[in-house]
Amino acid sequence: MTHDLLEDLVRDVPPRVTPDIDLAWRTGTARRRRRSAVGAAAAAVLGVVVGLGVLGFDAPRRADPADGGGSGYPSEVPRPIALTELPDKPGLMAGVMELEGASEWVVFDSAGRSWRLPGISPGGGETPALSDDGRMLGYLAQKTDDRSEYVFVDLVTGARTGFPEVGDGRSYDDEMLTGQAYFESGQTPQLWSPDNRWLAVNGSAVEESKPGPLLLGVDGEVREVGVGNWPVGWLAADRLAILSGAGTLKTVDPSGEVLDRVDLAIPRDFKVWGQWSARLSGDGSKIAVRGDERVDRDAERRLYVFDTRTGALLDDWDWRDRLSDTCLMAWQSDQVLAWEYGGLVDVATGEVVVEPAGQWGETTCGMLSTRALAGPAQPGPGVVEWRYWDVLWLWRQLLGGLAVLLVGSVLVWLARHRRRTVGGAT
Amino acid sequence: MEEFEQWAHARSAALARSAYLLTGDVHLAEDLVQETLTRVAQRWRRVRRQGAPDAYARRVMHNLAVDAWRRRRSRPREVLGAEAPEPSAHGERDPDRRLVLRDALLRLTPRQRAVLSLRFYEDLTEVETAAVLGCSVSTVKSTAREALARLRAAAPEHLAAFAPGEGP
Repeated sequence: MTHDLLEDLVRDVPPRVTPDIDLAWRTGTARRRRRSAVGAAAAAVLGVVVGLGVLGFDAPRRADPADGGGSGYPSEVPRPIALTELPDKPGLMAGVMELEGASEWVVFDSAGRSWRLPGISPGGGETPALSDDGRMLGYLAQKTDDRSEYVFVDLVTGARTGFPEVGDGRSYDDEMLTGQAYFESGQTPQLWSPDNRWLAVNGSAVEESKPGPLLLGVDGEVREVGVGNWPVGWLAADRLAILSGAGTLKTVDPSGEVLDRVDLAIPRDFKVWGQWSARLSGDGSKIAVRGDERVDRDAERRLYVFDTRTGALLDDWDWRDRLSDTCLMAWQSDQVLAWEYGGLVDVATGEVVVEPAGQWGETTCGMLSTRALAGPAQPGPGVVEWRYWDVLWLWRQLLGGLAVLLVGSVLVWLARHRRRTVGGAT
Repeated sequence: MEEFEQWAHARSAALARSAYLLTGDVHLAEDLVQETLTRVAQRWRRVRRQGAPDAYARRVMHNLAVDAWRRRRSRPREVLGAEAPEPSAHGERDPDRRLVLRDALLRLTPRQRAVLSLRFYEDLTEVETAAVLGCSVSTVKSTAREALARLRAAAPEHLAAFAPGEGP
């Protein structure tokens, strides 16, 4: 009886209800495909996570003081999603580079992992100094708004050595307000001795007007060398090489005694331009010198290589326009490298040796440790030895990305659900 | 696609009738049938392999109708249309009773309508109804009892035929 009553109620319904069967099929098929795709993606993510868990995930590897943290240099320095500050004990580093316009220096390791160098004094074009072995970092640190002081950082132990008497030498209202005894000139190269005992910077006692090489000791000692012109490298742990504008290479010991003097055979038409123009090779047997033609306009520039014992010219190449002339050169075996906007290149061949990759913007200067350049080029980006799970050293960024994706998906779903709901109610 | 089309054409009328019982409105019934067909199409291969597209469609439709009530708690109340199917020219039917029955059905909850539809229109047993709706048999029993009581209370003179204990 009940069935009949209900049947009577709906008997005339079918002609008035006309579903679109073709649309139902298309919509259903599209939903199935979409769900399959989402399911496959979720399964893939789950598979990767489970796989990593099963295979074992190595914690992000940092340079290990015991084995040198991997050797060599990164062929690429990728920009991380978030550039964090250099930790206290990151281990041996491979190099530093400067970001144009940001007054920032970035420190990177052999794997190309990079960190922002915090606290470097923003004024005066300060340049950090990385030791030959990549262990020591020296730079003028900003302490307060109007005071800076030099600091050494041992990147392996995290130990810091401050030089409160060494500032940037800036005066305020023609009076040296900081009360510091020495200043570091800025915009000059700084070179570590091979044993990391000394850092040669360009500076002076405050009361002297003409800066010259100043030695900062790892024990906090400050010593004026008393021999003018620019330090270009160390021939040995106690043999600093200084080049004059006339092309004379002097060797001095930390006390300032001149031990040797060699005149480089710089062609007559060329002169040594300034503090960034020369760099001693790692073993001290050669020196690369950029020469500028002695003419007023359109001066030609060439890179010369001399024997440091005899001063004889060994080789020379063109100095291309895009090569930075305010950045320290480097040696890799017998090749001279210089920073070109966008990477460290072989001056002779133009081949890029180290390339900042990603959205760094213009990088105006970069320097690598001698030890890093002596090793092999590391495949990149961002790993010492490529293993696919190394990407997880960016776990914070990955988790952040997943969170953003999740929140975004939920918001989209809510918006669509709300639209559908409201649409269905009206 | 062809098999689905054939099946859908064959089942459209039955689905439309059930949908109307569940919604009380031809437009809502059409939406419900459309969504039911879409869900069946979405799983057509599996449903066809199992050889039970009718049962799957029934389960989808009734659960969609119940879920629509659940969703309604967080959305504006739907305005059920007053539109009822026009009576055909068969003189033996009582148009008043149909309107009263339809209004009484609209006073039920979607779950009560779903139980009523399955038990007394689709002629499923209590066990089968419970399986379709994913609830216990006792829930089906009590829901059916309440639904019938409300129907009788709504219009005793027309709907006294809704007797407790009826059905397979």
